[in-house]
Amino acid sequence: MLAKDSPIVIQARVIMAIVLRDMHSRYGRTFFGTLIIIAWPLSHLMMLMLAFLITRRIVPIGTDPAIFVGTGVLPYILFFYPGRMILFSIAQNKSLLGLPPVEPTDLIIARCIVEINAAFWVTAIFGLILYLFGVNPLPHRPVDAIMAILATIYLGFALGFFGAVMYGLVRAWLAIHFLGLIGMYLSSGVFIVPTSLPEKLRDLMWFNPLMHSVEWLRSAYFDSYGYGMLNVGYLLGYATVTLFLALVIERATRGRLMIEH
Amino acid sequence: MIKFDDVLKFYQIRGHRKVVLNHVSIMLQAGSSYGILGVNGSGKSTFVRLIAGSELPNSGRIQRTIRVSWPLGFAGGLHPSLTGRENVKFLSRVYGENARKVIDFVEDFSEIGPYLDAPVRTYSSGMLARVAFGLSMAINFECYLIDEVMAVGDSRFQQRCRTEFMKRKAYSDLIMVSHDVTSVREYCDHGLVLTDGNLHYFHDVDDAIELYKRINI
Repeated sequence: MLAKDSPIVIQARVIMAIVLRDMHSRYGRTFFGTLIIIAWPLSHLMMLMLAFLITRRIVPIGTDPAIFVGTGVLPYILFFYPGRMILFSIAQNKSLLGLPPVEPTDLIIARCIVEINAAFWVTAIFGLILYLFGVNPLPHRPVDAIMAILATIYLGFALGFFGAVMYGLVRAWLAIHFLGLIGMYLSSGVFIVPTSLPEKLRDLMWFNPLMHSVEWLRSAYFDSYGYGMLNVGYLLGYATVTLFLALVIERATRGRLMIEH
Repeated sequence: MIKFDDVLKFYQIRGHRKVVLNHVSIMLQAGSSYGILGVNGSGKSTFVRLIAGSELPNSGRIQRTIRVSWPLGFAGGLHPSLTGRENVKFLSRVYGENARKVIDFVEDFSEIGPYLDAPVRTYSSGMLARVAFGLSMAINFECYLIDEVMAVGDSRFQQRCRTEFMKRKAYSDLIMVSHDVTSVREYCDHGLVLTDGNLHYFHDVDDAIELYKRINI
């Protein structure tokens, strides 16, 4: 009789094994391969920032264009990459479901760990780059900034989880998911201040949880910013309900997710 | 012990429901080996995947108190862009085995030499089968699942597979799907015949073979 490990130990072991496999198989097994996981979203972020800074020098709030656009673009990147990459976690590793200890949630959680790890590094290196260019990246309210960043990653994780389950069941979900991500990006106020827009448009934007992420992060940098638009409860509630729905659908359709090879 | 409790499994094929297990309850005891017989399309492979846990029933419960293998020779867990060594390491981690020990065994058993450090996508089907089979033998399972494939490669390697398998058989159980009644008689203590969604248990494997021969005319 073999020594028995508890289910939680088995799951942790399986998830860590998939994390390492995921990193090696997606980006190669060298140090530079691992670096791409961070360099990709970071270069995306820097390009968006540069594009804004080259085309527009005057910002609607604050005195530093880099801080204004950075506080808009960073939430988008921290949300978009987990939201996009987690989507493929089941589809790209479906053959592993033939192994008895591996379940669909293990594939999703493993991909989440890879992406959340990358998101933390992107944030840290982005702050360092701003500092090296003479911009002070430290916010007035650091707790708010940290909470906003964590909430944004949580939102990306929840949407990615939901997307992974839906994409595992319906191939057409891919288009819906990406259109949704693009729509959320365009209506999140990355390059603009929502209060400067017409009221009807603003009311529609309010339903976009990513807008609340941007507003929350900006409120940590700019005094009196975010009042009237920011609703932290909505952002966290949206992510939690999405994650809950994803877990319910995954459990209800696990049998189908496992055989749709 | 593997316990099926009122298990229903069906597939919906073009609007038609194909029932594989119709509310089946059975207990497969540890310390015994079982041979599963049935005509083509009766659902034997699905039954094996349900035992492995790589497929779930539509209703009912399946409980396992022992460590069950993947179907012998299954290569689906091997990632094509990773090397054989990396894939072996991955599976060792999944099962909490000593990676060094597992790699040494697979390296020695598969006889593919330096190819173990090449990406799996460059392997021939024979090499892939050798690594997959070696992996099944390197990791300790309390119950091995066999879906027709018991040995791979040329006749010399097939003999090697059988020898290695007999060593495992000394301390592990097996659940075997096969059309080859001689193998079932040789390796199994009890028989199960799957027909029209019903699973018939026979304490004596010869009785199961007799029923199988009657329905497989």
